[in-house]
Amino acid sequence: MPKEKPDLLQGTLDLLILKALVTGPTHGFGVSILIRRISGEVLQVEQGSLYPALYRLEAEGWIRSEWGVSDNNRKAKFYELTPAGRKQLKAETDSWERVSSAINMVLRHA
Amino acid sequence: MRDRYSVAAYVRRLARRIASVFTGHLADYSMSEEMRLHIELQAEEYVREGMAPAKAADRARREFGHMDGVQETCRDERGFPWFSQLMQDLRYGTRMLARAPGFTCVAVLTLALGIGVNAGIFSLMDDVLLRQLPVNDPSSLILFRWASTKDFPVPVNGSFEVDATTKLTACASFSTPVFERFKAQGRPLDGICAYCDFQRITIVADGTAETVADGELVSGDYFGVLGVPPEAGRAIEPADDVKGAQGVAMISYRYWVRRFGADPAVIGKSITVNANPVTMVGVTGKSFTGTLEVGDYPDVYLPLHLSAGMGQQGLGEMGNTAQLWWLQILARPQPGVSPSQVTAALQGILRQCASESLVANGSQLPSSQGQDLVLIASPGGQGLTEIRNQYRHQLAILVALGGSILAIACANIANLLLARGMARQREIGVRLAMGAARGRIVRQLFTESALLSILGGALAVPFALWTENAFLALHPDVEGHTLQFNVGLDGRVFAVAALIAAGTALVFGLIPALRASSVEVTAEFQGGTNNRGGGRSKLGKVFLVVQIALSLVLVVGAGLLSRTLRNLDRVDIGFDRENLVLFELDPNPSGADFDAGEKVDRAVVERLRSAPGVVSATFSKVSLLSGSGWNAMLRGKVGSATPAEFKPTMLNAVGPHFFSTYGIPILRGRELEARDEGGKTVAVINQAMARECFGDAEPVGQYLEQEDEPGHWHPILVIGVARDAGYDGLRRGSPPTIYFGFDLTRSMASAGATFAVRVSGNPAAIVPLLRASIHEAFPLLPVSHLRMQSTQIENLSGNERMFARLSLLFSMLGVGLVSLGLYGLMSYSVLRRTGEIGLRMALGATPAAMVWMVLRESLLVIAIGVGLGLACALASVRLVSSLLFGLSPTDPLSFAAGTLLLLVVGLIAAWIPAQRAARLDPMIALRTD
Repeated sequence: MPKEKPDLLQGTLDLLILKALVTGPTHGFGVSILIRRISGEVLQVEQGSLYPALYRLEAEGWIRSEWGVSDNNRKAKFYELTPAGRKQLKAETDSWERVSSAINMVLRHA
Repeated sequence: MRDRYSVAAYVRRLARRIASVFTGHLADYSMSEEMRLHIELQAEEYVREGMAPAKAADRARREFGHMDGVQETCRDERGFPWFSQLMQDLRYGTRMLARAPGFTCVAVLTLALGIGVNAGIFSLMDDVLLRQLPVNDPSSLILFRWASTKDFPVPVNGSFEVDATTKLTACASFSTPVFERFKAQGRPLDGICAYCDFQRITIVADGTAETVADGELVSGDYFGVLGVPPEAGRAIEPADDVKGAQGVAMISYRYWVRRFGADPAVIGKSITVNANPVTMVGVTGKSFTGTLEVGDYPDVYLPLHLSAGMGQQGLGEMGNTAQLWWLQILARPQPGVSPSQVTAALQGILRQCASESLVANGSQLPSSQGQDLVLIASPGGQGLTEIRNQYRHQLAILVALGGSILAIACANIANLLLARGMARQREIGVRLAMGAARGRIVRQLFTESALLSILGGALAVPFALWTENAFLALHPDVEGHTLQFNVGLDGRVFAVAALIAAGTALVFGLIPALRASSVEVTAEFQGGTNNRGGGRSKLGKVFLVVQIALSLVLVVGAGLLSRTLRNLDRVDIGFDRENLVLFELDPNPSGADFDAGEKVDRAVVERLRSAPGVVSATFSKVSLLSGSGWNAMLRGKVGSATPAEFKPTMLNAVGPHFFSTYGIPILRGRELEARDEGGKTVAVINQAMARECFGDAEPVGQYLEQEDEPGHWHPILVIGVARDAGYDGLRRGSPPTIYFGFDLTRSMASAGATFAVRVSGNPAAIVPLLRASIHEAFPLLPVSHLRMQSTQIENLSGNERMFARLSLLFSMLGVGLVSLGLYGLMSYSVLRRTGEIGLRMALGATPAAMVWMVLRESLLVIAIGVGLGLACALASVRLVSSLLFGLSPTDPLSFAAGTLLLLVVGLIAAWIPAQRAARLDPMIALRTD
């Protein structure tokens, strides 16, 4: 299991997770399903990276966790965005858009 | 915008990590729960997509990946992973070490010895060579010295040493006028003070007399310039150092504790110093040890102006301090002024004073000779440095010894660790297979080595103290100068021990750790230990070669030094050293009344001779073989022929019965007798002197000439020739010596004769009787420095004895470690090649041939080791050549014996386990995995 991830990927994963939680609280499995479905099966998040990311985001204070009951009556840990997390999501989205459009410009340049 | 890399974010993360240290274990449980749920949900999805439930569960689990690994990664986000890993490593390391108590004990003890000895040596070096004076800002202090290219014949009380920068022979003693005029000059100096060493002072306090070894005469501003506040009371001030001022004194902290029990009421009390009444006004700071030579610790400080009443003996041979060059001068230049500017400014004054001094001493030389003097400003931060520099050599040898033993210890432990690494191949293979990173394993193994080092370092402290005490106890004297130190636990000793421990851990721990972790997992599990030993063996052999080489060097060194010691002990000293008791009487403290002092000496001798158990008694100015002496230039006058050259001669002034007491036979002529005293100058000379001055002619009845002052000499009649006897040292043999009667040397002697008493029977029983007898007749003269002549002679070779013992001890340790190492190597070799040996034996090889095959491995190691060792030994004996006596540094006997010893020990250590090869049963050997 690679422990070090290149910063860019880590930042991107955090962005995706935050976005996935914007619609409402869900558990870890739910986050990975969401990301997979919305990206059209393109982005498949490895569990090995998902959970550490969730824990890291919680440590930063951008998401919050709570034990609850899932739809099939099983105990599950639900994550939800905090106000700080919402702010962070907006900031990271802006940043991402800036960077990606810049990269696009470079690529399109003949 | 909240940047994840900002300082605030970092602080937040840190805070959460700290918090999670306390809540961590709770989170663990929930983490596994959470992940289990994830797998279940994933499996359900697969079932929904149409997979069989069992297969779905399988796939979900596999896809999730290594749950423990994921949990690990999550945990790394919490707490301080490096810290918990370190704790883990430490716990594991401690367990592993506890499981092998034999190995751990041996390793720790070896390390403790190596680290301790080196730390002790460093502490000694620090005390002797490195430490600055415990004064305010020692680095800005200047110590003045002067050097002259031509003769400067004025009375000087001090020693000469070649100055490193100017290459001239310099002296640090100045006259009082020089000091006063320097002080009056003011300008380039911020402060200036003077001091002088003063020995053998008698202090009477509360009615009890005591002789103190060292004192210091200081100028009024001494303590002010140095900036050392007193521990109690007040310091000596400029007002105290004025002629006619009331006598004051300061005592050292050590003396205050020892003599007065640190009683504060003692301040202000009156005591007598050499019959002068003074008031004790203060105690010097706890860490202040004066500014004298290294190891001299003055116990009392007096103002300079009291020197007149102090008596002659303390100031050496010259009484009148007005013409004497006797003061050491320390100064602080003003800020921004360089030492060369200081010397430029004060040089003229020095030269003027020098010229005046020549005139005042009635010298025949032109007063312009004073113009040749050069003023040198040396760094004063360490005070006087002559004796200090002479210890350099000894300490260098000690460092070499200590370093060697540490290297041997490290090599040994490295080998042991290599072996353990081999034994743990399986365990490491498993850990690697389970996903541990190689770096992690190296770290963990290295932690074990570090643990050993820490334990070794902790135990090293008593060894360090022992080393220091051993060094001091063996009296390493330089020119009769004994070291006195505060031996003790010091932050620096600890720090050095820790540093050395860390260094050794790196050296012996890293390579075996790297080697042990380079395991190929599959090969390991296929049972491949047998064939893979090559790599370890090679490295192990390199370590062994190093060990053998170093041990050989140590053994050769021990041989050389031990033989030197034996040679010294066997020197023919020309007199009988047994049952000879020596002591001094602290004479008339003022010393001015010299006649009375000498009469007292005679009376004492007469009294002693009538005491029970005493065979004979005498006294002499110079005690034989004490390391100190007295010399002058004499020449023989054969008839009225052209006078011969003046030759350096050793002198001694002796009392009645000298030759019979010491057992020195008179070969020609007669002894000095009572009728000789008070009359013409007569003397007895020894054989060496007779040969020097008169050749084969009959010396008795001839005359010698001695120069009193430049251009003026007086004749001396030779009345007898004594057999050659030792004078001041064992190595010098018997120099040309002349013996005078005691009173005839009044103009040149200072009091303080050494009494020698030949006793019959047990000295220990008779000594108290002697003391009582003297005390009865002379209650105010304490007996001091009581010792046996044989002990005094032994002390002369204290250095050689210490080094001989140390090198013997270290070499034995080294040889012991080497044999352990060889034994281990051979055992392992046999183990490794069991299969091969079994095969060969099954094919018809004889057991003897198998032993030889195994043994061959070690022979190469021993041969290379011995060869390397011989080369190193030849190169390094230069270091000790100045200590040797009676043999050359490349003494064949020592080298041959050393080489033989190591060869024999090595062969035996290798042969015993090799025998196991012969006893192998081929059937069993072949089936061994």
